[in-house]
Amino acid sequence: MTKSQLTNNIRRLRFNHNEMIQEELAKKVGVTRQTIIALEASKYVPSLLLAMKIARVFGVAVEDVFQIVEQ
Amino acid sequence: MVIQQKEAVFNIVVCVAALVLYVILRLTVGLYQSHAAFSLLALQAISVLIYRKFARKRGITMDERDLAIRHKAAIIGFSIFWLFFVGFSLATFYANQQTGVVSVNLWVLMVFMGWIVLYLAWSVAALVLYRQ
Repeated sequence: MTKSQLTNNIRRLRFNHNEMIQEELAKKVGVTRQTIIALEASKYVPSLLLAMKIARVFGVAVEDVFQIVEQ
Repeated sequence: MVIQQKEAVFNIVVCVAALVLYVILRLTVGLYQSHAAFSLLALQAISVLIYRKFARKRGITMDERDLAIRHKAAIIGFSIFWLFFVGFSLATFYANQQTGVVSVNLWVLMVFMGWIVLYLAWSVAALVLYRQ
């Protein structure tokens, strides 16, 4: 059975959006900065609601923010 | 350090302080009086008030990740507490047999030690999960 891991482009998307800081993104999606740090490091898998909120902040589809990597 | 981590550290400090005081009192003033050390655990009630005040100033202090960690830590804490409780109960039973009498001192010790084991395991698990 292959193991799946969720990766993301949050860091890149933040920089593409006027170098948005983690605190600002956290405030916009209603989480703590520590959660954004954990997400960027792929140490935390967000809920669907949070994933959609993040995608909406950047104005992209969820798939453009998060990708599944089969290992 | 998020508010939940601070709360976990506070709980660890209170539990360890109560344990240390218990050992000191046990060695100096005796078994019955040493139970007074567990009154330190009442400080855990104050922590809720302190952190609620702190939380009001900071804005978002708890989100879905914190809740997930809290949930996992609680499961670990209660599992370890249950192992302690069953182990202590069985050890008491086998030591006293069916006709034996369990001392009130032992009963008080089990209740408070159980509380300490629960909160220590819960808090340590939370701190470890935040580091992962």
